This record gives sequence, structure tokens and C-alpha cells, in this order.
Amino acid sequence: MSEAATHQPPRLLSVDALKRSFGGRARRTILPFLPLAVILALWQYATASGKISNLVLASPTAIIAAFAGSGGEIVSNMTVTLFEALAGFVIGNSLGLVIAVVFVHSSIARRTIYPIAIAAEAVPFIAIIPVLMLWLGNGVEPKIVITSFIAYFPMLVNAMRGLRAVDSDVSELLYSLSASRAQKLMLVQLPAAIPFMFNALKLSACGTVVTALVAEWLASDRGLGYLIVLYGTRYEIPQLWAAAITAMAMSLAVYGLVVIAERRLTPWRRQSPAG
Amino acid sequence: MSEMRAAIQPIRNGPISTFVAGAGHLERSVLPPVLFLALLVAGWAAASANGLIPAYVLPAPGAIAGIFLTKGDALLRHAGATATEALSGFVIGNVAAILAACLLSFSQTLKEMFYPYALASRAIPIIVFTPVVVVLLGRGIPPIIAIVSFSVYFPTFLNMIRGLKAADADFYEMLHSYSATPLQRLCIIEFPVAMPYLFAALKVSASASFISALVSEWIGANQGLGYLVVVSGQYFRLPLMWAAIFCAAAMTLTLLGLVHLAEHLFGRYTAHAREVGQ
Repeated sequence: MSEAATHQPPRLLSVDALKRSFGGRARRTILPFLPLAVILALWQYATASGKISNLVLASPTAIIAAFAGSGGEIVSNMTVTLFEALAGFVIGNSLGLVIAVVFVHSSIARRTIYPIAIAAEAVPFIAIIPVLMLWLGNGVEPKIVITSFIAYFPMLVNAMRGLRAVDSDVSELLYSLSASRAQKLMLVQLPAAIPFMFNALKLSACGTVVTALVAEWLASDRGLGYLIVLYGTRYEIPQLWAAAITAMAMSLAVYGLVVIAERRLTPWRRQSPAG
Repeated sequence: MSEMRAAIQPIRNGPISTFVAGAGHLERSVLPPVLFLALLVAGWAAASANGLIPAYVLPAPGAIAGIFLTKGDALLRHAGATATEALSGFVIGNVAAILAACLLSFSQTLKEMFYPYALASRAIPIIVFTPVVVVLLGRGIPPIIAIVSFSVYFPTFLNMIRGLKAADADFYEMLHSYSATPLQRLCIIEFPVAMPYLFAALKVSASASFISALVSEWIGANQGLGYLVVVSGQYFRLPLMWAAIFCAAAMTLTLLGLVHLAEHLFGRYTAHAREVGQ
């Protein structure tokens, strides 16, 4: 929805309006960079002039230098974290979808477990990571278990909503064509659930990356989360920032891929605002 | 058919009447999950008593319940620290987000400047910056409140920006014809319209605030339930560890319940919150 639509009555398309809309696009691209530039400039000034000690905050140029110096170490640890996050993402989401399909076909299972699943979405499952470490050791396994868990619940809840959001006319049509349950599932319910499933995928894209990162804080000998804590305890502040920024970029990249996949697979939703 | 009705009802009647209708179907909607949980705990207790689950893997439910009696004061102290961090962060982050969104609703330029950051923040793992914040602010409660506030801030900010521009153009035209000030416009139409968006964000941030507090305590504090979970795990005091986990879960669900309660109390404005939901 454009701003003009909310504040003013719609008007006819004119040269003026065209000019304004092109101006709007340029503004929208350039304006967001202003606060970033101001912050970076202040940051560089405060750290380079010694107003803030280098032991507390690294200057932006020092962080860039840290990327150059420790880039290899950061990237090799990043692949470990990325593997944990993606493995959990795939396992958790597949499991969530399968269980959702079971629930849609069984009302007893749904009435029994679905309320618990909804409540479970709010429970801080991340708190049991220390338990998983005791059970499974400090390798990648406990991280994959917990990231699967984190991805599982949003997919279960959203896929169930989606599978039940079928247009009743289409259901009636399939009934009158005497379609089997499997046909109904494949032809109607799963396609109807795709937008809902992407909501879950977007949630768990960041969720799994964050969870993998923080799980590595506790006990591990590799991974980006481990590296962040290591740099912190060593007071290597520029490297600490470089690793944290890499983690942020990784999370944004995974999220971005899901958004791109969503645009490709649900072209009919493209007109909806702000993806 | 009954499925269809169930799906339509909340939209048509709003949350309060669904709530009442839910109470009418108590034995259908509440009983199965409660029975299932009771069975699960009973099975767990029986398996532990017979030695099927070794105590070093998962202590018996009785042993965990016992901790609440014997170590109640220690649990309470750590729970107090976590609650302080999570609730302060919840309040600071949300109030700051609401104020910032209201401020931006007056200026198109400012909104265009900051909106992309609010959008991107959905994918930014703020909690990853905990070590950075700990270096900046030192260990203890302040860095954790800062982390919780930040992770609560962005979802609410984003939702409020969306909510504040969700009002019908007709309302704007009417207020314009009454020559209302921008402040009146905000108070009379924009803020009430944004309420469902606000509550959707508050529900997300209720659990997010506790999760952030617990996780940042792992490395940023020497008190709190998150700290207690890690330390009691390291010393293999498993009943204490599980008691701390259940305590954290109970506190999260309590805050979430309070937000739901507030939503029902403001039912007049939030009747469509379920639709806005995600």
C-alpha cells in the first residue's frame, strides 16, 4: 500500500505523479543509507580519536582489517554452523510437515497434541540445550537436535493451518469427482498450505541459525558461535565484531534465500506489500 | 462441516465469544491435552521408578518436584534475576518501539530512513551480539537488559509501523474535514487501529524476552535461571537443572498468559488480532 493511498484521495495519473513516484524510489533507496553513514562516521571518530577505548569498541576500519586477517578462520567455522542450522532446518521442517499431514487426518491426535504444540511454541526450548549436551556430547549432534526442534513447531502449526485453509468449493468439487484422500492432499491441501508453510520457513530460517550459534557458546570446539565467545574471552575486539557481523550476514542470507524461494513458488502473492 | 465452523468462528465473533464458546466445550478442547500430559508424566515417573530411564539421563519427576521444596530459595533468587532482566527488557524495548513508531508516523522521510532496518531486523540475530555487549557494559544484569530490549524492540517497531498506517482512508478524510491535528489523528484513529498489530508483536516478544534473557545469561551473567541451568549441568545436579528449566518455562507462559489477558480486556480494539496474527 502506498502512502498516497492512505493520506489522500486517489487522483488521476499525471506527469507530476510519475515524477514523484520515481523520486520516491530514489529516496527510498538512498535515505536508509544516511543513518548508517552517520553512525559509522561517529563510530570511527569516537574510536580513532580515543574517546572510546579500543579495548571496549573497535573502530570500523579495525573491523575491516580483522576480516582481512582472520577471514579464513571465520569462514571455515561458519560452514560448521551453517551445516548445523541447515540440517536442523531440513529435518525439523520435514518432520513438522509430515506430522501436520497426520494431524489433519486424525482428529484425536490433533485435539490431544495440537494445543500442546501451540503452547510449546512459546516455551523456551533453547533452555534444554545444556541437557542435550550432557546426553549427546559437544559435537554437532546436540546442535542439530535443537535446531530441528526449533524448526519443527512453527512448521507444524502453520502447515496445519494451511492444510485446513482449503476453499470449501474446491473441496466439494473434489468430493463430487470422488477423489481419494491422497489426491485431495496432493492436489488441494498441500498447494493451499504453501503460503502458510513459507511463513514457518521464514521464522525457522533465522531461528535455526541463531539457535546453532548460541548452542555453540556452551560447549564446542568449532563453529562461529564458539569463535565469537573465544574472541570475546581473548579480548580480540575487532575479530569479535567481524565474527558477529559474519553471523548476522549468514542469517540474512539464509532468510533471503527463503524469501526468494517464496517469490518463485508463490507468484500470485507477489503484489502483497513488503516481503 | 464442524471444522469449517471452527475456522470461521474466531473471525466472525472475535476472541471473547470464542473464549466463552471454548469454555462450553471444555471436555472436548481442554481434556485431551491435559490427559495426554498426565499420561506422559505418569509414564515418565513409572519408567524412572523401574530404572528404565537412568537418573543421570533424566531424573524422576518426584526428584525434580522435591528440588522446588529443598532448593526453593535458590531457585527463587535466580528466577528473580531472570524475571528482572526479561521484564525490564520487555517494557523498555516495547515502550521504545511504540514511541519510535509513533514518532515516525509524523514524518515520511524518517519512516523511509528507518523502515528497511526494521524489515531487515527480522532476520538479524541480535542475541549473537551478546559477547559484544558484555564487553561494552560488563557482566551482570545491564548487558542482558540491553540485549532483551533490542530483541524485543524490532518486532514491535515493525508491527507498529504497519499498524499505524493500516487505517481506512475514509477516517483520514473525515478527520481532515474536522481539521484535526496530526496528534489527534494519531490518538483517535491510528493508534486504536494499530492495537491488533501491537498485541501480535507483544505475544511474540513475551516469549522472546525470556528466551533472550536465558540465553544471554549463559555467557553474560553469574546469576539467573540460564546461568543456573548451565552450572548445575556442569556439576551433574540434574534435578536442579530440570527444576530451573521448568521454572523458566512457567515464567514464560505466565507472561504470555498476561499478554493474552490484556488482549481480552482490550477486546474492543483487538477483536481482529487473530487475523493479523503472523
